[in-house]
Amino acid sequence: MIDSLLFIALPYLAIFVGVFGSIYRMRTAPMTYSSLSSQFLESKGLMWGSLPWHIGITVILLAHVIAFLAPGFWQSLVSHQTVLAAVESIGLGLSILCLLGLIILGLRRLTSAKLQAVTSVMDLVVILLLLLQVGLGMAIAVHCKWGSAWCSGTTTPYLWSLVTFQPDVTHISDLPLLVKAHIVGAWLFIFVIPFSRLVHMFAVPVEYLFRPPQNVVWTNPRKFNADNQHFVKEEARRHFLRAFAGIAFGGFLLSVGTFRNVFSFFFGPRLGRKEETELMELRLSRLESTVGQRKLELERQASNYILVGKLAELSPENGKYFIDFKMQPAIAFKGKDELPLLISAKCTHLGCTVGNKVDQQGRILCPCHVSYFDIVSGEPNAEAPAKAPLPHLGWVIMDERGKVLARRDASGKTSGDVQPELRVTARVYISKDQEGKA
Amino acid sequence: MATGKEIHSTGTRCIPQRVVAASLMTLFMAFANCSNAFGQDSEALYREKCSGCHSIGGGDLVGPDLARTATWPDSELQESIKRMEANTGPLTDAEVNGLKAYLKNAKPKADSAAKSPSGTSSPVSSPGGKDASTTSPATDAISLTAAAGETSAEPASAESGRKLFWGDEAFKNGGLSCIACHSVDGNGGNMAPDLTGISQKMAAPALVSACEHTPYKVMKTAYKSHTILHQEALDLQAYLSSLKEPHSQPKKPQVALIGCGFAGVVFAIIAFGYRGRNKSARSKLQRRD
Amino acid sequence: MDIRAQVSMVFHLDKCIGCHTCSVACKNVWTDRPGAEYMWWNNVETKPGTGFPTLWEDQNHYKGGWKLSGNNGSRKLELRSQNKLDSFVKLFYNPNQPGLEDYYEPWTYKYADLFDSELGTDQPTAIPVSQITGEPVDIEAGPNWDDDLSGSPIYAENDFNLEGLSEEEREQLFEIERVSMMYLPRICNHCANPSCVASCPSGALYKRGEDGIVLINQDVCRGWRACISACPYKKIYYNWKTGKSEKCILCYPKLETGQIPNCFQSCVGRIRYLGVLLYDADRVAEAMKVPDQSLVESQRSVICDPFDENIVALAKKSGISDEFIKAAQLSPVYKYVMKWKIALPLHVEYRTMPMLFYVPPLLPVMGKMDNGIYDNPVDQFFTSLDKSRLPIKYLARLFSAGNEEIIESVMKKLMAVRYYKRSLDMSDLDIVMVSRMMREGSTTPQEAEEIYRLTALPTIDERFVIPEIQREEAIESSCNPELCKGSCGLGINQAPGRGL
Repeated sequence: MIDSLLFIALPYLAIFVGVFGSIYRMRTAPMTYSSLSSQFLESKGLMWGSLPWHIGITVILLAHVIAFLAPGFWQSLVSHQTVLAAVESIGLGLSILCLLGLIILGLRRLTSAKLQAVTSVMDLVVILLLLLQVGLGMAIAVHCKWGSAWCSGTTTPYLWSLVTFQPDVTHISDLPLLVKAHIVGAWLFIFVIPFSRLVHMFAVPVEYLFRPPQNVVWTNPRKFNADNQHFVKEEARRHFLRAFAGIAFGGFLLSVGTFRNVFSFFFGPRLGRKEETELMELRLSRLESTVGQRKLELERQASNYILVGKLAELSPENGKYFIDFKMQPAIAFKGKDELPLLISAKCTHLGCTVGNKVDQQGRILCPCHVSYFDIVSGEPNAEAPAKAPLPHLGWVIMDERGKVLARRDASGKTSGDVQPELRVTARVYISKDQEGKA
Repeated sequence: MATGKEIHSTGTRCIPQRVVAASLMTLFMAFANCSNAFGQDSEALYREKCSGCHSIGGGDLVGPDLARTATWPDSELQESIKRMEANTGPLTDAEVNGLKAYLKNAKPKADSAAKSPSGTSSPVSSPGGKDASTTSPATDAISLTAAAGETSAEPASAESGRKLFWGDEAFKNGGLSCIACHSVDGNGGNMAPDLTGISQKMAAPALVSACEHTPYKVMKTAYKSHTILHQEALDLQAYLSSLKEPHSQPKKPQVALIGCGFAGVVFAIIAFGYRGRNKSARSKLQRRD
Repeated sequence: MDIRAQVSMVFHLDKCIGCHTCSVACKNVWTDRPGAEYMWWNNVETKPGTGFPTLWEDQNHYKGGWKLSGNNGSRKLELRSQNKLDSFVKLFYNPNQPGLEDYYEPWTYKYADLFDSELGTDQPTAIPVSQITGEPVDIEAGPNWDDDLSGSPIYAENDFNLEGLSEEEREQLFEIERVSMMYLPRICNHCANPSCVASCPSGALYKRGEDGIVLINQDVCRGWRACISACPYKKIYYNWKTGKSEKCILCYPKLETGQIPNCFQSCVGRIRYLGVLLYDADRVAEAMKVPDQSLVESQRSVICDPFDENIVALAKKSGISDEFIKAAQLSPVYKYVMKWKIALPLHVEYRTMPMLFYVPPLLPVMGKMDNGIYDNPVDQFFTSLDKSRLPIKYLARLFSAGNEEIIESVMKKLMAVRYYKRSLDMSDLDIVMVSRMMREGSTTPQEAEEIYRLTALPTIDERFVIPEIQREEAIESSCNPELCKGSCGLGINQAPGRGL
């Protein structure tokens, strides 16, 4: 309960508030979007605090994002021991930078009177939250070592489950408390973004790389007359570049995983001779079975009767599988009246093959989702996911010479009987006309 | 060999042999644990299903020691075993009863873990797979079900097990390499226990089963869609069994030291890069008279 | 050819009396707000002096403006403060940004203490308190701390423009009783090649197409502070309260309603002229790539003749309104800068192509002391230039990127006009000599008369020729500016606020 609250409700709330809150604030009060730099009032502490903090957190966040967006790529990267150790060391180093930077930034806010004039409560909340988050991250790096490796099997699927709207807490519910606290901290962080100076991370001026140095703004329609075309072209080009860059980057991130597969197809480890033989054999046997199945099907369609087995072979507990005219599995039992009891083995829930062993209550089990079917009535048990009963099949009993001794149609109407002396040799069939009637 | 045995045990080889076999295969793929234990030896069942987490008299592993359950009332034991279905998959009443009986009668010292034959497997390229399959038919059943496509298992190799463990080689289904959380000889992750002496605590078949089914806390979900293949499990078992005495592994990387060094270097770069930063312009003013 | 119009300015330094009325007029309207107390969009400096902020002209320190890189074949203009990549690191900490200590800590006085103090034996005093922290401060600096050469051994002596001067020239400048100074009123130059605009990561800074006013969009500014170091004139100020930069807006709300900007209107000495210049925007960047010595000429070559029919046609094609063209023809700025060539840009070597021009002061040159009498020996009239109290070299560093010839020719023309007028009024000068001076100053009686009229007797309509300008904002919707005073400084009704 607390897990779903913290790891399903909170993230969705946080992302909703974080994204839409920031957009709303951008729309209604763009003036309040600022880095709110305090370098003007105090610069030395800022240098020693802000630089390490921002350098550290930028790279660390980037690594988190890559591990989340391209788990395959990331996993293959850190599966190498040296790389893993390097990633972990650099990560720890960066988190040390972050921590020291934050401490310096916090201290400078607390000690300088000038800075206190521009410090809001939210600033302190943000610093505390970040301190906590960085501290937890470092504790994880030490106590739950090599998170860069285990994240791709735990937190990454969790995050993806959130993204795909199929939240699955089980990925992380067993992780140590430290990790869970770190995750909760991250959601809180996202939550407070629109209420704090943290919005400045959305203001990273990437477009500066692409824009021309001078920026001239016209309020009269001159540009629409004289330079219209040039202007439009320039704008379009810039938009195209920006869109292209965005799409390319997104595509790059998304395709890294795919590319790895392509790469390993051509350059990855080759199958051994033995493995290859196995693979070919497997394929061959599959083909054979397909051919056999088809043949069988045709054969069946042609013949009027299909042998189920000798009447004597059937047992009341241990059913015998066979395939009916529709190429579907069915089971043959011996009923209480010493006559065959034929029941479909295709579960009415999702079509798995039902087991052939009868338990004490006279039921057979579909193992896929645990439905018990009574073999006499065909009805599933009350809790079972299957709701419809398994249908019974009709049968024909013939002696060795092909003389019909008894028959039962699908509705259960029996005619004829089998003399005890004939029971040893009598064979059970299903017949086409019965099938048709059923 | 194992395949034949398995099919016979279900006793349904009849007209549409292949079709039935194939449908059975899917059946087992979907639910490996369900149907094969009818009338099987409860000890085998115990090894397959329980010994991955429990021991009898061997001390607590992931789950508690089961030696004390011998004194439990019948109904409570039944309930407890039923509760474990979450980890083992559905158990039939017969299986539960069998397990109950086994637990009641098991002598603590007779626990397979203690006298596990895994010691006989030599450290490198032992015929661990054969070893396991000959001692425990139950394991055979697993081998069939999990590795449905693979008709025969290669002999287990501790070397490839080592590679899998250390992540030098990826699991076929893309699971995490063990080293992310586990360690051996103190090298590796520390979120999960050190596995150096694990072969003393768990019997070989239990170890294989544990690798394959990963019924543990975090692993349960982490490997849910990245199942470890039987062959891989055998390799891992071989590797883990080979870890008797301290192993010569790559030197433990001094993560903390390198991290601090890295941070120090960045600070130095900042100090150097901005040594010419503006300080107060007024301090540049020199008095001239 | 991309002809553009620019509302540009001329400050006639001979007429400036250093009264700071312009600064006060500006402050009262625009920067009388929390966060902006220390800003002086208009300030008046005494030269020689270190200015405001301290040593602003030292670009080795502040790294403002453009620098020329590359060799002859491919010269390139680059920002001195940053390139596109390291600007991203400088978002976190800008090593060249001036801090509060380079300006001054704004203060006020606890006037209430004069009334509220308890009865005692001492006279109560109003102690100075910081306008940032509210705590008592020791006042160590102010916006015109070196006014009228106060503290000259520290301030005037450290004037950055004195660096090239010989020891002898320095002594000449600061010799007791001969000591000399001039005033330099400064506002934003509204450059044609602004380095602040080029440096802004967010793209908040822009130059208005119609009139060339450089503005900061407060809604787009994200407080990255790159413009503050990039502006070589240090005319962009960081509002520590709102976390955004602000600068002189040339009172565009007034201009748009046909009024005169505050600092211009309030000028006691009537030193300021405002008018339109037409220039070729396509050639600006190229023109700023020439060696220092030719920069003034190069800038002049970009400015177009508004009487040339071709230019007028091109201007119309570029969408410049008839009012602007007419204003350009009547522009006093065009006369000073292009026709008479006696107004020069300040520190053109920063290569931003400033559009504010200064007529250098002649008075200190004239004031040569001989036997206790200020006089100028008529027979060697131009030789006094060499011995002028404000060395030509010093003025050249200010107004012509070190090209002394340009300063000399300006001085000669100014002197010729003066002698010509004296010869007419006083008749105590030899006509032959005056006409020789006119020749050397390359002027004519007619031109001298025009210069004299526009310098000494201009009407307000001659000084300020303001065309109709497109509105930036719908000012009408704002409330009475008087009501917003002290809260909202940017001509908009929404008070600038600090982010969360």
